Amino acid sequence: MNRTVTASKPWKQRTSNDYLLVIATSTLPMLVSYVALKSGILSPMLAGLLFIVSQIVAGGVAGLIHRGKRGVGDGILVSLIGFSLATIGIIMGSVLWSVLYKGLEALKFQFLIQNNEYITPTSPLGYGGIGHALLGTIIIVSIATLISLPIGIATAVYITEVRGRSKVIVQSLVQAMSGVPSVVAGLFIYATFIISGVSAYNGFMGALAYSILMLPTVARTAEEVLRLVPDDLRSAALALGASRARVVSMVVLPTAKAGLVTATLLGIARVIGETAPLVFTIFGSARTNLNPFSDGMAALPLYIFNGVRQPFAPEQARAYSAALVLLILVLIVFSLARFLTSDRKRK
Amino acid sequence: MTLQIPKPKTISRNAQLTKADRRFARVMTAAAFFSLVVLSLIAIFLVYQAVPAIRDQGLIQFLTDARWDSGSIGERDSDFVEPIFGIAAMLWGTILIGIIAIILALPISLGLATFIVFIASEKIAGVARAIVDFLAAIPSIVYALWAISALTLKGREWGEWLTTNLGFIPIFKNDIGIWVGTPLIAGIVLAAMITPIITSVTREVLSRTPAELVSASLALGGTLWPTLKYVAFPFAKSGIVAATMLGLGRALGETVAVFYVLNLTYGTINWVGIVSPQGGSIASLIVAKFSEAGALEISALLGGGMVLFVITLIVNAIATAISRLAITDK
Amino acid sequence: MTINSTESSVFQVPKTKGTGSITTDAVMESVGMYVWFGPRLVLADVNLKFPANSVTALIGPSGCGKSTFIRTLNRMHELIPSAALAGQVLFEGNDIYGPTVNPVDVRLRIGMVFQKPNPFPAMTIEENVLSGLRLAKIKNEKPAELVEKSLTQAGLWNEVKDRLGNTAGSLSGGQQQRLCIARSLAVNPNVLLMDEPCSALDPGSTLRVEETIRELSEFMTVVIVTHNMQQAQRVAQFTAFFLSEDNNPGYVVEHGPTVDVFANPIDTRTSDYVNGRFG
Repeated sequence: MNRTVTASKPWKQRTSNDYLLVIATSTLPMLVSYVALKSGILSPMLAGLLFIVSQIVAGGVAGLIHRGKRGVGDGILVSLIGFSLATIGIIMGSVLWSVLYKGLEALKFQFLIQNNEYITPTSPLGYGGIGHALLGTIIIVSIATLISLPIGIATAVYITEVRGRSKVIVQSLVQAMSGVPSVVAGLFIYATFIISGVSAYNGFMGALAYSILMLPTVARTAEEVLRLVPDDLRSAALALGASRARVVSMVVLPTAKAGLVTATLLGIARVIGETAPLVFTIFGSARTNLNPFSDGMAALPLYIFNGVRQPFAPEQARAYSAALVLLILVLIVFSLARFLTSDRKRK
Repeated sequence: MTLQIPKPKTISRNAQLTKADRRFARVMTAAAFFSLVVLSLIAIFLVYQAVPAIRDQGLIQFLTDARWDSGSIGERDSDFVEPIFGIAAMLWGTILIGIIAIILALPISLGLATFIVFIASEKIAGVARAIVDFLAAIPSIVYALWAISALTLKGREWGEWLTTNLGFIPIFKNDIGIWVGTPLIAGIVLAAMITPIITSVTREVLSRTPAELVSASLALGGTLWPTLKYVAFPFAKSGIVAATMLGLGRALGETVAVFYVLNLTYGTINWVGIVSPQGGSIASLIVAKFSEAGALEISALLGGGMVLFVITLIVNAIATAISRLAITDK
Repeated sequence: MTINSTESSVFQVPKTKGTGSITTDAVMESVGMYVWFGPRLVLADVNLKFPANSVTALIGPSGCGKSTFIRTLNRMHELIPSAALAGQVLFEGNDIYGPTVNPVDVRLRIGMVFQKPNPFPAMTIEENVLSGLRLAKIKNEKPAELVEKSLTQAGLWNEVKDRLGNTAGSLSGGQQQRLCIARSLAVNPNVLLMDEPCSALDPGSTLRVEETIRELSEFMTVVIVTHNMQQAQRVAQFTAFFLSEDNNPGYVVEHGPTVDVFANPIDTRTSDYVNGRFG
């Protein structure tokens, strides 16, 4: 006897009544509120309130119809979760839209390469750009990376490889440091170096402030990454007579290479848009300055921060364009980090 | 015959380490304690630089006075105004917008985390996680622009509506007639910024709910809501509190996003009027006053920074302690 | 019979031997049950009857699909995202996978005890017993009586009656497992499914749980997955032997009264397995 048996998922089968219920639940409250709004019965705020309340009630009723009294809680829960999703969606859409909408106007090729030297807030959009600020951001972030990467990795090595007695203390300290507000990091550099006359405002000061914020991110991510290195590798190398230092430098760190790059990228993503630390440290500049140790330097976040305060349309447009560029930079760094992580997991 | 029981030999932790190994361990230890050095230096230098202002004003006055006035020197003696620096209004304002942010962000974060862990399919959960992580990576200056260009308009409408319709409740009172620059708007921006942070930590703890407990609940006839209420949330409770504290710490220290959308008012403390354009924020105060401040005012601003540092340190320490306790419990 | 699974691999399912001897009316019955995880067919053509107020043991080597099968009996199987199935589970004559059936109702009538004791750690002993009522929103007028009755049925009452307010974590592993049994009994199911309930317990606790199972079978139907041949003989009136060979899907080789399966197995593989020659 030959027979064909097909796999099915009876628990996923929906009757037409189920579909009707879902459609009714998800559209009726909106429809009713919309009609109430358009017919002028309710003000926009009240119509919004009506929508929220009626959607919650509709969720409960749908649950009741579908699963009896036990379904009420689930129905309401689904409505509330729907609100969370909608809220975060609206926030993201609105954030991206407001930067795109106002930022595309000034975004031309010249905007990316020119500096602001002869530009006033009222100069037309065809002139000037953020080339100097882009370079400044790259220089400042690079120096911050050079400072925080070795210390961050060494901290992670201490926690996972040396396994010193104070492991928990160090972890707590790193945690505490990650909570330092960015404005405090900037103030600290200002109070320590600039107010006391050790240094003038310059790019390096900004990099120091950035590295305070970057260090905990690098250290924590690196710690997680080093934990993923299998213990067998360490034991094997130790059994071959290698010293601890060599095990770390020849076995552990190379194995975790991709992860350490991710840690660096996450650290960069953490600081690249930070504005507050720069307000007290780099002074800003309209011209291109490639020397981090003398004179003020421009950076993207500070450029945006100062630009948007100007009451002139062209300068505002430039600020929004700079924000768009910054957002794209963050997106690139962030996607790279994610790509590397997913790549590592696949292996 | 007596039996000799050999004493167990204790191997010293460092006995098997070579010289090079010990040097290596020392270098790593030194680097690891770099964060302690930085934290201490922050405290030391901020305190050191704040001393002149605090000595001039007195610590109690500095913390409890709501006035912030750089003083003035007029042509006549009678025009001379003594500078007064008190951060009480800014301190309370910082806490107020932090509270608003938490109240708004927590339910949304719980909803999102629940969706990702318990409802969404693997694929959709992955997308949702990526979006949440991306939102967390958006720089605060971008949120600031969003707040200026989009949120303020809506926030003004909502504020005005609240005052007109619910103005009899003290928190919605507004005697000034302007609804821009209110703590509510600042709180909403902060909520948008900390929602991703709270969500990702909450998601992490919720996903650690033991599968066998969820199975037990479902096998006993529990549906989604009872399972969350009686099994998952009690399990994740301390983790969620820690996540909230983490978000609060971030909200208290946020600067630029608040700077543009909050009107700072000195002299009186606005205790509860969240739709009144009278706010406070230590971080914004520092940025606002920094560029035109004299030596004494700079010192006072650094004192404000010190207070902010201490508060965020405490909030984060509580978060760390709670999450550590939660880990050792289970 | 030759079947084509969705993977289109043709696979011969041998006919289950020995089923003829079960003639009693069944309270629950699986009819032509096939189970998939993703594209992989893991169980083929399981036809088993579970007579009322009896204990049926499901035995077989690891990976033969017994635990998967038992989870299809109260719709816990569907909680795994890649799960799929074909066939029916008839409970009191109705298919529990029918389009209008609420899985919650099924799980309330057909309870389950898991391999690892899993009491809710944040609840007290008493709250654990009553947790099913809370979770399923069932009202009960006399909770104290229900707690005593359920704990007595699970053979735990005397040990815990003085400390009902303690958390479940204060109990030993065996006590925790009996607490889980009491928790399942509190919602008054007709059938109790037990997935290797003693595999995480010491011998003493195991005997105690077996005693409980024998007592339960006086008024309810029990299906128990076990690796322990002696246990099957001690507690079960009926036994089904599952086997999966050469990466083929698992199926029931032999099913019948426990005495027959152990003493006079029809299939040589059954006899090899129950005599410890493999598995």
